[in-house]
Amino acid sequence: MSATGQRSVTVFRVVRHAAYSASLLFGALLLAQIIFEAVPGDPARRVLGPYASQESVVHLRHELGLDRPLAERIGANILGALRFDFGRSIIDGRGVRLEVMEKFTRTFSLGLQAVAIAAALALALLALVHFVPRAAFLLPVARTPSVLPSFLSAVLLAIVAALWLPAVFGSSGSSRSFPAPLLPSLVAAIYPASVLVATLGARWTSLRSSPHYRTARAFGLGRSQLLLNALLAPSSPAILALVIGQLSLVLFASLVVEIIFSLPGTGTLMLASIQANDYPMLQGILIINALVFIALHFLAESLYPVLDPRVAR
Amino acid sequence: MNKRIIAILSGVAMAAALFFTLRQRPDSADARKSLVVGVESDVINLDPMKIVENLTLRVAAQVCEGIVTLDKDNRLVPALVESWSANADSSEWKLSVRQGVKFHPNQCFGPAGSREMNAEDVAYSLRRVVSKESPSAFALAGVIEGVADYQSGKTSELSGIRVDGSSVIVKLSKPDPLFLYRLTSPWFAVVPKEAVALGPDVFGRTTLIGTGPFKLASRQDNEVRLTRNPNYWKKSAGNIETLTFRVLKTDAIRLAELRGGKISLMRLPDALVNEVAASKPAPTDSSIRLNPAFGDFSATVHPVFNSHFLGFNYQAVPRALRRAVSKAVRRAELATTITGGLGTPAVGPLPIGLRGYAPTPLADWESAEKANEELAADPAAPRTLEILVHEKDSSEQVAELIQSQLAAVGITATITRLDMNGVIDRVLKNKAQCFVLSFEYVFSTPELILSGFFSPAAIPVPNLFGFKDERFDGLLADLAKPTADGTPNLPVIRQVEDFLVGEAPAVFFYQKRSAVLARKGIEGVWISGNNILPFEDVRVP
Repeated sequence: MSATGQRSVTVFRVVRHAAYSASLLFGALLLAQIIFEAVPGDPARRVLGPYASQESVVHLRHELGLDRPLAERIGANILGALRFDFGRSIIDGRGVRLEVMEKFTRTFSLGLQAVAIAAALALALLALVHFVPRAAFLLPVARTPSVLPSFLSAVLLAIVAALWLPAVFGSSGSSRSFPAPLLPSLVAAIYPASVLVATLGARWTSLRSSPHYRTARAFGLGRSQLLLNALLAPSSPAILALVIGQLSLVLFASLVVEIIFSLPGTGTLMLASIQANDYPMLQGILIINALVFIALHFLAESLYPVLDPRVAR
Repeated sequence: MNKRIIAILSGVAMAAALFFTLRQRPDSADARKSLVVGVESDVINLDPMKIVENLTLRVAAQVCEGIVTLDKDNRLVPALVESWSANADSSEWKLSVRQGVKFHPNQCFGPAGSREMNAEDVAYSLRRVVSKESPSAFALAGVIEGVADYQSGKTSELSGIRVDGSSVIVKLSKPDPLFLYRLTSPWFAVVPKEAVALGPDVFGRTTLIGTGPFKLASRQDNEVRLTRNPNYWKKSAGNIETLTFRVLKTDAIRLAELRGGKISLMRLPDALVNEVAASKPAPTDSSIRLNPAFGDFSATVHPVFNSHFLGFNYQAVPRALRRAVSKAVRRAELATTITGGLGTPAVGPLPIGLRGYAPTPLADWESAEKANEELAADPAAPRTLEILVHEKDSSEQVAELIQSQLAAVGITATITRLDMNGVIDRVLKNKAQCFVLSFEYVFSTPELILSGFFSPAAIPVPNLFGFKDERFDGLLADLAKPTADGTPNLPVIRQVEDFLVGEAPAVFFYQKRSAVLARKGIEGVWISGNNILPFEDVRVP
């Protein structure tokens, strides 16, 4: 294939991908708005509390545009979202974009850190088993946490850390967004680490019986060269896909972790916004999250051909 | 090669471990007197006008002050207003603003850095709090003259509030000798307009300017840091230089952090009383005896203006059924089970701790036989009830207990689970029969609580019951008449409360007390009826 032809294929892929993502995003927005409309109760009343006067409620409804026709509101919301302007929180008037970006940075650094810890742990364990086959009994042990729900492991670890290791783990009160506090990232790393161990472990087992691996062994490659050339290199696209897939999952799991460790992040913000019917905030969270995920997947797709030239063809 | 990889891997692991260990700063590094308090929920916005959530108000109240406040006996005492006087019929009030009180320094004041608080600030803050944007406006709507026109936008001037030199003159729409008792909540704090003008992304979020004993140093959703205000106008007994509120939402984790020493003080939630107490506190106890595992801590108990109740749709539920329910519930069991003994069983709406008030005895009112008599008197009245519950204040747990208590007298209760907003929505649309709710009273005197929450003028909110009775209107008129010496008219108050108990627009269960669990050696802890703990009075070792 000529260079021009290859470029046009890439451009086509980008356009197709963008169109697909945009339609997903539009659908999600519409769905969110419909759910928001269907929830019983008046958002303005919820903001002002049960004892506020009816006049205040009517005024706030007007301020929020809740008294305008549904179609007009949906249109305005989507137009605003296109301009990346999500308006202001209906709870206290703070700017949505600023708040969501700040909270997202925190959650993202927590997620990134968790996935990095998970990948490091999983690879270290698999490498250990590679060098010391007797340690293989650790693999099933490492896989078990994938059945332990994160809300349980989070609470248990937090209490243990608070009671016995208060000097090492600050489970609370971190005012910085990066690096995220250690304990929550560890908790968030438990599940992806065990998934990585299970998936990569299975892949490496099958790689070991592949002709490529056997040939490499037959040529007398040492264990470390086998690890690098015959296991790590061929599975690198899979590792990338797994890590990015787990990052999406971890960002989702952060909802639980953030609440238990009382960390300000997207999870906490989302829960508070749902409880308060704060639609502008929810819309901001939805769009910014979606954009980041789309970007991540796009990045992954662009990286595959680099790691595995067969994909490009 | 083999060894090289292992060496690299272990090097990376060690570097990571070192990095994470080094960046954990111990909190005790600050040699100055400091206190870290564990709190239950995120602190999103500290602008007193915007706060509807009481937990946030308790933080904001350390920074901002109102014109009047409550002392340890819940009596009205001056704060930013030095003194006051009213005309003969108490319809016009002259509030003399305290002189020499400075706002916390901030760039919003320009090169001077700060300025003195004055009568204009008091008037500005009162106008702001009755504006249509204010959730707390209901407490003053219909009280201050011209609020309705001001809110509807008919006038841009609020006729009821004007400045006269160093005083603020407040004109009321009708005489109210207890007017100032409406203003003891920190909702009605005085803030400078320069700070509010910084906009909603700044004021209440990154900046909060008041005159209080502490200044805001930083606010994160999960941590608020305050520092002592060296220029505070009032002499205070406390010695805290830095005060940190750390959010720990899970009760068990907050308690573990207290035991681990990361926090030194927390409110004791009802659900944890059993875990820490050696025995449940009796209604008259002022402290809780803790079990040996909490030997390093002490717990004190303080009455507050909070109560829990089952509200009825007054028009839709027949009197016999309302009264039967009120007589069939066993309040002592509710108080023990739901609040771990922190609730004092009570049949009336008036909180304990109010000036001179003594609750109606339970024994005269509730019993299964009396409930059956009520039902027998009206055979046509239904024996079924739908109770709406929500996610807050152990509402569901309360309803389940009531359900079993009512079953004993042959009343079948069904429970419908909604969220708080859903419950309020159905109540306001007149589609509810009965609902579990709680009040945290903003009024600090019995007369205002009784008239403010049960008068026909308070329909639909906060009179969510739609309670209306001509005889009650007459009693309310008596209630408004001042006594010669300004003390509460206890016989009339008792009469009004008894009338409410008899007609049962709501069934009250207990009046709440708040408990504080603190490391031993922390002194001066008390909680006002408004549920505020003034940290200015707290001493740490």
